[in-house]
Order: sequence, then structure tokens, then C-alpha cells
Amino acid sequence: MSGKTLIKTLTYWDVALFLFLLTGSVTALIYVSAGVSKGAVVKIEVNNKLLYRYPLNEDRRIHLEFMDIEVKGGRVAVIDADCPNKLCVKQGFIDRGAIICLPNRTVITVEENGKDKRGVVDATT
Amino acid sequence: MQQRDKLTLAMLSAFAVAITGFERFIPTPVPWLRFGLANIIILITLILYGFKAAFTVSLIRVIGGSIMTGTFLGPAFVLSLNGSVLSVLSMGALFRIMPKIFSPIGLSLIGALFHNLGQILSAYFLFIQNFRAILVITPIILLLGTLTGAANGIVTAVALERLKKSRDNVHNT
Repeated sequence: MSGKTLIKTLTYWDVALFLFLLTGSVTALIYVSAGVSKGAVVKIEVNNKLLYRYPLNEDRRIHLEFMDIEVKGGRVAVIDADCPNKLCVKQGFIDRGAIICLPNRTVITVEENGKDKRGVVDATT
Repeated sequence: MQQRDKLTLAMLSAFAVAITGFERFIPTPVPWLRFGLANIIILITLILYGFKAAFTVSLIRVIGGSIMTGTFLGPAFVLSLNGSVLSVLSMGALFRIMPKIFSPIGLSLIGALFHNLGQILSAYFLFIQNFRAILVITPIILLLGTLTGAANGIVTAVALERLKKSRDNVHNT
């Protein structure tokens, strides 16, 4: 099939849908990444419970029974985990945003000092 | 269902499972980015053999694929199942109600969108109730889903065109 027949297959709604999804997700991406700035605190949650909360500027290693986490040079990474596909390890070091490990129900988030911009209630306060 | 149709479904399912298995070996820049190439097979099944057939192939793909990759009944399986069911339902509904509005490319975009929404929602409600973490990854997933969905749709359109041609040839000779 040549490009010409491909264009014939396309409907206006296809193009409209594509543009809508593209602009929508790009806008959301810009909006969210503007809200996610470089953090100062790392929070480790397992099973939706806050386990640890450390400043990001102190290097340390955190050993959980299923995962090793390293804080180094203002960034945090999962360096080893016992899950099958190790997506969390592949994500590497982050200084903002979050690392999510689904099999172990673990979320590592980097946040600004104390206050969360999006107004999520802090478990420790 | 005729014997021949059963064989066709079995073959399509085998394609879908095989594609799911091989897809894991394609290196991607973002670790959790998946191309969803099996959706090409699901879409072709939907358009040529109808919703029931597509639903069947999709279920076989999820179960077969998860057994192959060793995630059967794990969290990844639950997400994959919810995403796939939602995806095939949305594409099937759209194809039945308004078959002329979208080409396979539009259907593929809708399928990718609902697959991702199903996964994100079930990740949030079943596993991780961290709104902030989910919020951070959602736009990236939807953006990548739109791009891969469009690419899969184009491949599907090309494949359907070729299939039609070869069918015509068979009928003419």
C-alpha cells in the first residue's frame, strides 16, 4: 500500500482524534512537569504506608527485604529488586517525580521540603 | 462457528501471543514503554471476524503472553487484563456503532487510549493509592500510547489492504 492509499484510508475523525490526544497529553505533560520540581525529600511508601522519609542531600543506602535503594548526590535510585522485570531499577537515579514498583507495591517519591504542591495530605503530619 | 473459523482464530491468537513474547526483547528508551504490537492482530481480527473473535483472541493473548513472560496472575497480569479488555471493548463498541467514522488508525488510537486508562486506573485502585505518583506518569503514558497507537494503526491499515488484495486474487483464480 502506498502513501496515497493510506491517506485515502484516513478519515477526518482519525486526524482529529490524533491531534486531540496529542495536544491533550502534551499539555498535561507540560502542566505536570511544571508542578514537579527538583525535590529535597525522599519518601518511601510500601502498601500505601509511609515507611521512610529522608533528606535527599545525605547519601545513604536503604535496605528493604525486597529492594535496595540508594540516595547519592541529591538523587535516588533503586539499585536492586526481586521483581521479575526490574522496571524500577532501569529507571535509574531521579531527582524529581517518582519510582513505582508495582509487584512490591512500593512508591518512592521525591518531594519539595515538607510541602506537597498538589495538596496531598502528608502521612506524618 | 465453523471449523475453518476456529482454525483462523487459533492462528491469530498464536500470532498475538508470539508478538507479545517477542516485544519484550525490543529495547525501549523508557523502561515501561511497550509498543502494543499485538493490538495489530486484535484489530485485524475485529475488522475481519467481528467483536467476539477479537475478544477471544485478546483474552488468549493476555493469558498466553503472561504465561510466556512469567507474570501470570501477578500485578502486571491484572493490569494487562484490565487494559486489554477495556481496549477491545472500546474498539468493538466504536466499530459496531460508528464503523464509518474511524479507519483502523482511529480505532487503534482509541484502543491504545483505553488500554492505558484501564492500566492506570487499576494500578491506582488496586495497587498504589498515591495520587501524585500516578499523576506524574499518566501524561507520559498517554502521549507514548498515542504515538504507538498511531503507528500500530498504520500497520493494521496496510496489512488489511494486503489481505484484501490476496483474498481478491484467490477469488479470481
